[in-house]
Amino acid sequence: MRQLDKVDLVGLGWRTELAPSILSHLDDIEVVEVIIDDYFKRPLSKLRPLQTLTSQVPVIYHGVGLGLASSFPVAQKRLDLLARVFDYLAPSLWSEHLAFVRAGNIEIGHLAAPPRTLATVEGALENLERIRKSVGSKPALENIATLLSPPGSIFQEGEWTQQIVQPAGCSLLLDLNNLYSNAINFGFSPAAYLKTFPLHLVQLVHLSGGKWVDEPKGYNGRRLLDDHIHDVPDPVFELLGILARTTSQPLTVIIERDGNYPPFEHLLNEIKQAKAILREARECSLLEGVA
Amino acid sequence: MSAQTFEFTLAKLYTDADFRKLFLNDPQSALAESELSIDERTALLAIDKAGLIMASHSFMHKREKRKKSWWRRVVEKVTS
Repeated sequence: MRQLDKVDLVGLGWRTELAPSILSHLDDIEVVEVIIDDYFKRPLSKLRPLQTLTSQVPVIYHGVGLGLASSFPVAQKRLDLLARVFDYLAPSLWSEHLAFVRAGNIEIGHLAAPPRTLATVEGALENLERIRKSVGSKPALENIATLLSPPGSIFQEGEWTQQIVQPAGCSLLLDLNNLYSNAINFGFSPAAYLKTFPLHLVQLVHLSGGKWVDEPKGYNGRRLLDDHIHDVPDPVFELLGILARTTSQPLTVIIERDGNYPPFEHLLNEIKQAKAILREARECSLLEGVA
Repeated sequence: MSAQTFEFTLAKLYTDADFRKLFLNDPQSALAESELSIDERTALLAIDKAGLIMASHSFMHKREKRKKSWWRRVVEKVTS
């Protein structure tokens, strides 16, 4: 079986709707990412299929609900749930978002960009220590998409990300569509925005798509919404090429699709496209090294 | 503590439609009782209002979707 971190791998996010097709195409799908929050409250016996899956293909677990990038501590109850499933599954790699999802008794319901301040840097580092103590390891950390520039921020996103990821000793899960959407929405060149992130720490990559949404009445613009139900756009594939030419470490790339599912062949083609981009970028790097 | 108050106020703006409406119409009054520092208050007053409305709607949509899928699971369990 292929091993994470040895070579570039490209795979797909595990979704119930896609499961039969994924299982019948494991020759083309080199890695699978499973959302771990879906399993928090299930009896351990219900996790056995995940162990079986792990014996067939490398599996990365992905968390969506810790809300660790916050000056609020992550709830111990949530960490205990995570520790319970990870004790059973013993993952080699898992990831979470650099987001806040609740504050006090308020549940936002999704990933929100916290103010990029020293307080959230310190809060995130403290939360990562809490996570390590409870779960036994720290996650790879993912950048998120946001429709508004978080108020009160004193850091740009790339710098803020580096201030957390590097001292925490974590790797980076770079979501290229999130990065692309933020760059477009806030007036940056996507390629230049990419280079503000600590690219040498990237271990995992997400690719997905989104759509344009109009600003509310009284405003005249539009913004890119990362919705995971559209194809990976060409500029996001181009960012993958730049990333792969800029870095030397193996990258594990996951294509995320959460709905509006196309024929499975279409998703396989996106996987093929990502593989071709990585191969070409690595060959270019090798040739440049020889020259 | 103030950083938590700031995040709490931001989360309230995202999730509480009445509070958000008050804030968009009369931000000074909406924040009058918050224990925010001057800098934090200034930052909230300068918030990107279009982005706030769009993000809040997106979060509401996600919460509703999750609630629906929770109900679907309950119904499936009861009927299976």
